Amino acid sequence: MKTSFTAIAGLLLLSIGVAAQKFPVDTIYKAGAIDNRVNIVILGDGFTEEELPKFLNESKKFADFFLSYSPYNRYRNYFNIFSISTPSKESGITNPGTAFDAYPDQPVETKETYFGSSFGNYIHRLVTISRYTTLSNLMAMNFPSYDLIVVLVNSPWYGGSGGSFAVHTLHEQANKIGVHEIGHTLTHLNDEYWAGSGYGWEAPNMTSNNNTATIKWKNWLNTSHIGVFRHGDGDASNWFKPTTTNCLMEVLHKEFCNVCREATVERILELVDPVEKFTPDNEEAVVMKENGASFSVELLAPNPNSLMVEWSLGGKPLDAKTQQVDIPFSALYTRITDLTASVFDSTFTSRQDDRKVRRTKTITWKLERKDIPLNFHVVADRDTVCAGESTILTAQGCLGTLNWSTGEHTEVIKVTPALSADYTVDCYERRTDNVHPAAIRIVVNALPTVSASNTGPYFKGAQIELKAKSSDSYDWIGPDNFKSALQNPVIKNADTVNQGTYTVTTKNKAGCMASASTQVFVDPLPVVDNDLHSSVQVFPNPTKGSIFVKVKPAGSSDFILYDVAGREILRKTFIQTTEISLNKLESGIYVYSLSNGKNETSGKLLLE
Amino acid sequence: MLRRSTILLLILCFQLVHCRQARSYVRAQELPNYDKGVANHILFLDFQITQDKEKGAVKAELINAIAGNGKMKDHGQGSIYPDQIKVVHYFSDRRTPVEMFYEHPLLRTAEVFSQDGNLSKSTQTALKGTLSIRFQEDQAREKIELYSVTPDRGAVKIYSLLVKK
Repeated sequence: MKTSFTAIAGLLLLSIGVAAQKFPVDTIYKAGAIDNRVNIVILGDGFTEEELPKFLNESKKFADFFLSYSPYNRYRNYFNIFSISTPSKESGITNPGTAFDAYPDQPVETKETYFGSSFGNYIHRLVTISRYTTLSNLMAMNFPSYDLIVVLVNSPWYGGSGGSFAVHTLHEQANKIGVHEIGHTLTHLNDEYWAGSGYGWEAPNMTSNNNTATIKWKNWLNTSHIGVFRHGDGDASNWFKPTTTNCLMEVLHKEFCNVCREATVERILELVDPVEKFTPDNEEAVVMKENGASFSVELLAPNPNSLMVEWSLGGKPLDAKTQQVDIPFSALYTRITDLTASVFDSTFTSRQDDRKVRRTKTITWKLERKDIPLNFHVVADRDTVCAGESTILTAQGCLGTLNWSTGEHTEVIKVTPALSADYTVDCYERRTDNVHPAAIRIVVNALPTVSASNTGPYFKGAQIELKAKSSDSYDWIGPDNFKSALQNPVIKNADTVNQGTYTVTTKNKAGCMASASTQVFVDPLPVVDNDLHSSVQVFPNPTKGSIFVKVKPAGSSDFILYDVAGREILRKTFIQTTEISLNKLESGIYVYSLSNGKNETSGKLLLE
Repeated sequence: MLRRSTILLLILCFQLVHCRQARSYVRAQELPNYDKGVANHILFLDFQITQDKEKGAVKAELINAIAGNGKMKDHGQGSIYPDQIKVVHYFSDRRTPVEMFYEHPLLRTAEVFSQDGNLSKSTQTALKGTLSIRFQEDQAREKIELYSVTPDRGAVKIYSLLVKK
């Protein structure tokens, strides 16, 4: 039975496959390989077979508009743009004419088209397609590796929509809809108009952080209308944008703001590698001949060209900034020398702090001088560390594969030994099968032992006593800019600002550090009110269960018990004498306050 | 005694009902347009998402599956819609499941472009819609689950699709 069900499913799937067709994929602009470009595919709906030349013409118009839009214009050659012509049975698209904002002069009509596009039923200018499976089949059969889709619908009336792909009409103002939507799908930009509750999220052009020192567009503040603008009231008040009514992501008649341009360029450079290829191959060491060798990188230059190339030989920078260098044999002094080309796009459209580190592409060749003996060895970033710290080990001078005692095979490894340890590595020479061993010892120094405590909890006005146990130096920090180098520092006249975590750090002779913390509680109640204190008895203290409270003054008294975190645990009003059960409370230190008229006192209570 | 045409109709109905069960798994190599001669494939799946009434249970059904040749770039995760379909990909090689989020086809928020340049969002509710997903074929992928996620109901699993070798 199961087989028959599967077979039926197979038949259904096959029928889907039959429905999908191959269509010609027309190249509008092809700048390079599919896997190293952003590939935009333009589709058309409502164009009959006879109108396909019109579709191609409209596709090119959109491609030209897109590639002339900043910042895409600088990176034209980072994009391929194609179109796929799919003839519809009828020309134009459906207009239900039911929306309140329907254009009075536009004919109401139903059209049979390839993707079933239609103006909106409720919002007229909302033009969408309806045949999603047709779209899936078309793309799977004809251009599965697409990055972006734009659907042009054959209508002169204004309209369009967004989503996972852009749809818009041929109206002259509608092409900005496509560019706006590509801002969403390519760069993950958020809208800069407030789209409603639930539409606030962290994006390159939206944040909940309004601190000008740390906001993600801090490097653009006070340039070209960039600032920190609150989205609005209510939920919108929690979100901020870089500009107001000055960006394509907010209003269609504006260009991208600088923050959105930066995000767009960063996104393009994530998807496309500016290094197209390099020669010679670096899979194996380049054996240098006496007449030297040339090395080159082929770059994909934006316009204007903002790519910078830096070369280094054996870790030392070379003067060359060109795409090719010639290395003479005489420049090599060891058996193996690394030659590195670093390529970085220094475009002024990005000011991100980490851009150089994040985006620099590095190509490394190993240059071999066979007349110099092989010197295979291991170097450590630090050969002495404190427990818990890491160090970097590098195997140098191997012309083959590596096998570390850790099981790793890379040239550089990171180790975090708990105790002093020896690390070994074998170099298996590729050409001769010889094995060259190397080793290094990493010494691990123990951390100092340290503990911290205090004598609290404290009342307001009391003396805080901090205590540390260690055999080395002391470095205390705490609330209210507290600092001390004493082993047991004190803080007189405690106040609530002194409440919090105090941390002591100690460093031993080997330079290893350890820290310990203690929590100090300061109750806002005064230590003693002499007027009432001498007239009050709270006993037994310490207690195992119940306490008796006696107050000499007549009249009503209020007894309140707090835990060390300052939370009220119980409250009782009485006249002169009462018994209070604490059986349900956990053992520990509590603080009480007792008031009678205008007089007040407080004290500590220990429940065992 | 039932007439022969009635019996045939009953058998057909029975099989059509159970076709949905058959579609609870896919085998990439059996999909239309799957080219065994190439190394990399991209799979396209379309699910019909339905609701019998407003606030009713959301259901999903695989209505289309097809393969294409090539590699996809990693386009990351962009928008985080309040109403969404969460698609979770499970792998057999101990990889952490990968979650992808898509706009809910029954609760779309369409972007409306006015001719004066102003933009706004408009909620478009429907009882039937299509969710289209595309992903790189991965030999270790063994299951895909779909969840309807809305602020009022949280995440509700609506479909489980086994991906067989």
